[in-house]
Amino acid sequence: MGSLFRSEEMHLIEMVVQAEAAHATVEELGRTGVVQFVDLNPELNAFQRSYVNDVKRCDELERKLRFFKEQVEKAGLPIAPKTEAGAAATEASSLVQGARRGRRYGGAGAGMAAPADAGGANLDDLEEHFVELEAGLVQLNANQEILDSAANELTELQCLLAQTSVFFDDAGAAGDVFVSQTSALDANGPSASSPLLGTGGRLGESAPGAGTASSRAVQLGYVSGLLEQTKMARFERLLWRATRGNHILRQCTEAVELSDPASGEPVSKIAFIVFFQGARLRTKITKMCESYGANLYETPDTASARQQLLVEVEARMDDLELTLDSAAEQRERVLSVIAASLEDWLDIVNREQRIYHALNLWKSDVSSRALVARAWAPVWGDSQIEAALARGVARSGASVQSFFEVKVTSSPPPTYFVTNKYTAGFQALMDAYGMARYQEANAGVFTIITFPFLFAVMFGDLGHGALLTMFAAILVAYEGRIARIPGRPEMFNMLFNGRYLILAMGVFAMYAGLLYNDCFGFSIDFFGSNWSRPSDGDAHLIDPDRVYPFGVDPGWAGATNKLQFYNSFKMKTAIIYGVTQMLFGVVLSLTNHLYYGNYIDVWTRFIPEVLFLGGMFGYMVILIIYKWVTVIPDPPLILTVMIDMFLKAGSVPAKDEMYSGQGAVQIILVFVLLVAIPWLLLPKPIILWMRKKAAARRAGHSHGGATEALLAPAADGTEPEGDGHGHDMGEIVIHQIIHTIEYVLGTVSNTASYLRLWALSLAHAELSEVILDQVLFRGLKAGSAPLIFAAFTVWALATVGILMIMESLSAFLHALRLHWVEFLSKFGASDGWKFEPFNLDAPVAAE
Amino acid sequence: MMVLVVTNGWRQSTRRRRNQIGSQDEAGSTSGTKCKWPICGYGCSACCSVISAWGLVMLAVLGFLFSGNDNLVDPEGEMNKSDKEKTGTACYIAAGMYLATFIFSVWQFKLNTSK
Repeated sequence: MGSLFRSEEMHLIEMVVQAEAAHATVEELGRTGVVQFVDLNPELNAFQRSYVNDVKRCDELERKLRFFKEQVEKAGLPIAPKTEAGAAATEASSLVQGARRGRRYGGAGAGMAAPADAGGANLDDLEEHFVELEAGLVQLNANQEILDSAANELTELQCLLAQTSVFFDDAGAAGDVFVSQTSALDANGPSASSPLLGTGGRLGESAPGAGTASSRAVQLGYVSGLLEQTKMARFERLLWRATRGNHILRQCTEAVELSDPASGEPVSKIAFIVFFQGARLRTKITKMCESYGANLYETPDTASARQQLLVEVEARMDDLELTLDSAAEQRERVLSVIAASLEDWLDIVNREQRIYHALNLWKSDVSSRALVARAWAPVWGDSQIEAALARGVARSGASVQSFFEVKVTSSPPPTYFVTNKYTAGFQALMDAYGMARYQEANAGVFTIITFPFLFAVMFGDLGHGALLTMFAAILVAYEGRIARIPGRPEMFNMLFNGRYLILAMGVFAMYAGLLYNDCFGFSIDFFGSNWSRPSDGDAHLIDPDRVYPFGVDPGWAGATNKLQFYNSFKMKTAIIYGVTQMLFGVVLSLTNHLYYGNYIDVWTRFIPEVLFLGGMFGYMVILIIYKWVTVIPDPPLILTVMIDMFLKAGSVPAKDEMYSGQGAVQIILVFVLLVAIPWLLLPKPIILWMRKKAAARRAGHSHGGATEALLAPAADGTEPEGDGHGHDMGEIVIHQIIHTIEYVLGTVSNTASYLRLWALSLAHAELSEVILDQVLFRGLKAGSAPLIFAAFTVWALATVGILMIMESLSAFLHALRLHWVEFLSKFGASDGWKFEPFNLDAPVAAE
Repeated sequence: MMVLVVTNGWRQSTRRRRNQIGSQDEAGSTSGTKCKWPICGYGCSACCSVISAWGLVMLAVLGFLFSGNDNLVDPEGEMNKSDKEKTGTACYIAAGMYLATFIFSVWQFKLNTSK
């Protein structure tokens, strides 16, 4: 294994595996997780591949499992978590099965029939099992639905019977009114004294046309049933229109709560009864009821008959309930068996699915009865691959050993960094911008220190840093427990994955807070301030020879020129950090040139780049430090010194004088800067052009009329990076011009970009001070406990909301940008591609 | 009267059946073994306990600094000594108030977590 500085050394390998061993081999390789298969059939679409049927089968199994899961969740049963033992057991069973299969194939001599083996056999069993379970479950569900709807009907009837009795009783009591009204409407109505519904007219019999002579009562028909509460008003209106008011609708005031047997949704229904006259109205009303989805039931109109029916219904209901209970029990038994191993099954099916997807990338060679696979793998993984291939053959019982060989290829290998849980967060941060080119200097290594550092420069506060550290420390301390929580929110997951990054950021912010002497806006006097401030006079130094030992003297707190001091201090440190980091980036580009053997780039790129950056801003940094450490009477502004260095080259104005010999140094620097630009621009294209000419001449001598195309490979040997060596000369020139302009302008603009360190740092300090003064100190100065209590809560919430969340996010983003653009652009090509090994034990990515 | 009896009988039986199918929680919630005094929820009580703990510590420190007439809390020198002492006492009282809210919210948090 290599270091994190350069990505792992990779090579392309080709594996030849006997068809029967293919499945087991892929599984074994997936367990080691060191290979990334290359698609050998890019011309085939998903449906033309050899294992498409197996993939489909897995999809079908997955669908069944999803159905099971849905049912289990609906029943509210807990799903057992994935067991390690389960995976081991399936492995063991698949081993046994594989051996059996192998023997069978060997005996029959039908080795080529289908490359099925251990996993395939296991999958067969599972499939059989699933089909049985699904059929059983569907049957149970159907039964349940039938029973439920029967129970619902009985309930409805029961309610209706109970409630209609009230209607009939009412009707009996108010009989006179009804009769007089109905008889008035009815032209040939009988005498007014006859009671309403006097004789027992069962629903079918009470057709008005067939008015029996024996009965002297009004032959009113009626329809009774239950309707959903929400539809009642519309039903009533339509009823009125259809009968022109010739009806009496009675509805119950209390709704019955039922559950819909098909969907399981709760519905509330209302019992109603409609009295009317005439056969045509009966059909009309019945149809209306049907279209509104009302369930109609026949109810006898005599109290005794109703009572009898009610008793009957109750008896039937008790029977039904027993059946329902046993059905539910049975269903629960089946579902709990499923729930116990659902996750394990899902795991197995997912693994199989991924194995077949990987197998689809392989090329089958029918004539030689073998499968060919190509994969990228780190060089150190050879022994593991060899062992995995051997295990695959052993498990499947294939007769021919598999083997692999290293292939030479011109395509660029993938970039593979082996990270641990601490470095992974930092590496992911840099990979997000662009994957490093294969074996290029990795910015991720340096990010581990520089990223939290630059963050802390902007977020420097002892108190805020401590809060951040505490938060990250909790995440780190309970990482095992948190990782097991399923269904964490996305936002929290991001924080959790970056917990070590946040921890480092917090610790660095505490350090920077100590340097700035800032803790929630307070300054803490650790070592005794060097300033004394009497209440009646100006501040003065206590001991001019003593220096406050660490960080900023707390005497600055409360001083009127505090902001001026911090302003200058933070701006200058920002420039120093920026120039240092950029120079470091340029040095990293030197390691790249040397590593790739581009010695020409050392001379034509690295040296002029260092001279340009160092000559301009390196000199400025030296001036800044010089001004800090020496006592200059009436010190000049560094900015004017820098400007005058260019505008008045050669002479140093008296106000800019910092040290003797300044003029000579500055004229040399200006000269160096002026030389560095054409140096960066011109030599590389010229050298390449001359080399090309020489090569053409040599080729012309030896072959006599060689073509340009023949030259390219010869030149590539000395120039691995040589994009454009065999290409057009104009492209190289343009490339170089762009690079030169980018670098020269970038030197100025990137340095200016580092000033964000200054701006954000000041903003953070000022904001925390303002919130402290305006919120907490208002309460404190009032001197009353309830006010202090309230002020603290407001202050704490503002601190967390504004300073901790918003400010840390902005500092994070700015630190990220400085690394991506200002630092990485100095050396990184970032045009690599990521190595994503085929790993069965890794969590499934959503496909 | 009849109506009520019949419908209630049915409802009870449905509920019984659902409870058998459903999880233990549902059965538990009806018998009332859960949180007795649920004044604030899980997130709220956690947030309150953190802020109360912070307030308790920080106000105690501030109270100490004010009572000790420390320069740190008043770098501009705007307050006189008796004001500072008064503020210090008030800080201690406020810290005591946070102690009370801390105990309360931790109790609430425990109620929310122990089911």
